[in-house]
Amino acid sequence: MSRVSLEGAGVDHEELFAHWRVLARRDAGVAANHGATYLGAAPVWLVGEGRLVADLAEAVSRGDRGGLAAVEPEYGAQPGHSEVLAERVTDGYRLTGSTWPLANATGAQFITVLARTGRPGDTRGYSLLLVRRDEAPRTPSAPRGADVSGIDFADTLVPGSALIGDEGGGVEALLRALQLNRSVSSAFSLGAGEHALRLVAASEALREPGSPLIEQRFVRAALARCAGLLAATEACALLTARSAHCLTGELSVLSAAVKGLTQTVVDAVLAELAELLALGAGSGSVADDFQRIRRDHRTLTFLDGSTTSARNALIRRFPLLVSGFLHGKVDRPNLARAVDLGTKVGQLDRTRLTHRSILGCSAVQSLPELTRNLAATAETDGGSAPSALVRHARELTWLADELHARCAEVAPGPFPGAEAYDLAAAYELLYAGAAVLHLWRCSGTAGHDALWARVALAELNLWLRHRIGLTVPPRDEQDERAVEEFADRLIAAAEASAPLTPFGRHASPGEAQSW
Amino acid sequence: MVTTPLSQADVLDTALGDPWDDGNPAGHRAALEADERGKPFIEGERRLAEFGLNAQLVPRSEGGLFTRADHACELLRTVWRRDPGLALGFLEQRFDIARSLLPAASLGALDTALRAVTMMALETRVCGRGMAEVPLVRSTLTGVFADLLAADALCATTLRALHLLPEQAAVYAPSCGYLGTRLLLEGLEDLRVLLGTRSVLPEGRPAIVRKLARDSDAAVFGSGSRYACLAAILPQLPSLARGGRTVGWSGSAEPPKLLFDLGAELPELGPAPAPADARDAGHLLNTLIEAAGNGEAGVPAPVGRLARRLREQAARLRAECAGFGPGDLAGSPPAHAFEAASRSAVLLAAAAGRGVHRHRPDLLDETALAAVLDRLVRRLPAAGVLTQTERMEVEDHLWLELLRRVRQTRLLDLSSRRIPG
Repeated sequence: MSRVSLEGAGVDHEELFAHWRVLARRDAGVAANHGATYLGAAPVWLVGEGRLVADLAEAVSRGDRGGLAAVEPEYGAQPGHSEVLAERVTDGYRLTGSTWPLANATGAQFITVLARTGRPGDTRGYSLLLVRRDEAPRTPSAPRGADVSGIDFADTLVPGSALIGDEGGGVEALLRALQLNRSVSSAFSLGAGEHALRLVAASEALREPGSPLIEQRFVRAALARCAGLLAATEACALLTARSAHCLTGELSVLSAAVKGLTQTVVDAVLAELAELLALGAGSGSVADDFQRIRRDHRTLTFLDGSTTSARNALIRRFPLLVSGFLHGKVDRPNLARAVDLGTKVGQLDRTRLTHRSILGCSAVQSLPELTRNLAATAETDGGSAPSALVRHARELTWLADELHARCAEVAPGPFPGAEAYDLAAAYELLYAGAAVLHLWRCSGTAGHDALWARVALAELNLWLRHRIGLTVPPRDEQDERAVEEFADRLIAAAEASAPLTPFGRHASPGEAQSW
Repeated sequence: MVTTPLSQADVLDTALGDPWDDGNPAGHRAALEADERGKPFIEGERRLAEFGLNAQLVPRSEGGLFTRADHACELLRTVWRRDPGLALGFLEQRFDIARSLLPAASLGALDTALRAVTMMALETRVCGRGMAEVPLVRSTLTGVFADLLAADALCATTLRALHLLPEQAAVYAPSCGYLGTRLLLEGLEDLRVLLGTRSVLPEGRPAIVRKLARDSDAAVFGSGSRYACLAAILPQLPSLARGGRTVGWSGSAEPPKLLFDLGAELPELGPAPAPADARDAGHLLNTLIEAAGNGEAGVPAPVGRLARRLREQAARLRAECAGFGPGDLAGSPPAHAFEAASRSAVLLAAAAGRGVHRHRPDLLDETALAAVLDRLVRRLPAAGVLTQTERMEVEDHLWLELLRRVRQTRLLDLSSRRIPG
């Protein structure tokens, strides 16, 4: 998993995502430590030069671990103030202050630190510095159950060569690196979510002889809904990882959306699964393990900032997204490449990573067109897109209209109100829905019953309505039957140790999907 | 809970000392340290034993001092505001009371967590302004405050019902168990998300919030699943469809006023009664659900519109329940039956809120009621009711109240009782 540079050996983010997923299914904590290393190294790959890059490449290749000590602003649009001050001295910088959170603090050989080199609150007032273990005394004090701790600097001297990129360019570089990181770090949450789903779906606690809970309709429906939501999140995450290469210019939007989506969905899924597990008699230590999985997950999700900060990023871009949707702006050729899972993504052009997406989000903005195409195909082709899927797609598109109309009413400003955050959360769900439709369509399963996509979209549409504050229509019996059927497949897959989501392994084109 | 001054809870609070004083061997810092080391909270336990908490929770009929569930709750909440395992151990005395006491008492954890984050917001600056001035922060804190009040209305009513309508426990207790614990856990989660990356800080207020959340998770999940509570509500749903009202309590169709007169005298709690026929219990549920939406004529705008929305939702729920056939709710009930049960609990909470406001407006004024009902309505498949402006006004009102209580060290539940620390 060590790569020399983004362009040289070429990090394929889709592969990275897949690797991390596999690892995270086994141990989300270990996977996250690798993620933390990537997070610490990414700014160096992006804007570092010469010896700094070469030295770090060598260090990472030999297995050194690293981390990032920088906090993105959470409540407002201004860049984060770091509590670490870096004063220029003769041969470099003197660091004072403390910072958090920092995964890997006890095990890290290097840390990328965002420190203040200029005026507080000035976007050009911060710089990134690469600090080696031996240079910085540490006083780690970890909260229970996670290697997340703080780091203190007391007049620590670092050489001038520790500067990553140019002085004052810290925030810009950090935000671009965060885009890359967020486009793959959803792998950790998804791994944890899938692991938990499998644990519960195959649990002995739900299979006590006599009146096994696994045969209860409500238990099966709950499991199916969890699986649907995870599948949707995975579709979204996969699309985003690929978009890092194909739709690089949109990554500021996509990475923010997938981050918030993943944290929200996986937290909710874990909570629901905990409820099911608590029903099981004698679930004792399995239940305790489960609470630990939930706690670890909560800490994990902070590695690349908070959901609030990700939603800030979306809210700031509302005008762009509204305009993009209104005018149907779509980067068709690159979107087509991004959604075609059968093809490998090309090299990432790091110069196209930008703070300012020009177009918005092609996946969402192409929804009306996509829905029309699906409906037309369903009619002419004798139903290759099941009519239920078209119904969900139409509802999603209608909700997209409603959502963008509300986003248009949000007044710009550095401190958005709560309702703006709700709209951002809704946008994440919309992006997920778009990902589901795009990936289903391109996955070569024409003629298939699209069961996973139908269940996923039904849940997303429900969540969207709640988020936007719209009435929820009465239940649909066809949808409920779909959930029951999906539950059958899911539970069979769990019992057979088979993948629980459509993307559990990459399918080659034409391969029949059991989902 | 609402009781007379110098109640047993005050005595207990004083005995436990100021929790925010780092030097107090029975304070938050000491509890955190014990927790970190995975050891029991010795000093806390010693002081509880000295106070004689055990005796307070054994019914008088069995030689103890327990007479009123709401007083017992107040005592337990005092403990819960500080620490898990401490409060939990005492609840195993009597299961039927425990089922209602657990969610009610555990609101103490939410009280402390909300207080801690509010205090932190008042002391912290982010991006050049006070954290408490950030709109998202205020909305979250006032939202959690409203949820705490909603949960307390439901729990307080439930505990009084244990005394006043013991055969109807089947109506209240599972709804209280379901929604009370949901509001608790979701409130704690909202606070944790608000803290953001600060929530992983190892010391201080974030650590306290984290510990209280862990305590609550352990207690709530240890006592069973929310699905079990919903399953207990299912048998009442068919009677919702039949409509009609309970006639009783001197021939009136209204729930008894005593139910909502928090703090008023209660008859002694007897031994566990035989549960009433679930269908009779359902009649009461019907009455209460109707009360949630009743009488908005003459009630000023926001609460009136909220009441109307609640009535629509009650009607919708009733219609759905009419669709339940005789065999539907036995054996393997469908998922939508559980969903219907969860909505009935929300409507019950709304009825409790309205009842408390009507009979004790000093505990829950109209604006606070609007906040409570707004939050509850949003849990239903209903469109929002309040306008943006109304929501901001309600929020401002709650914010000032929250500030007042934090500064005066008053509880954040309906009682607003002053506490030592």
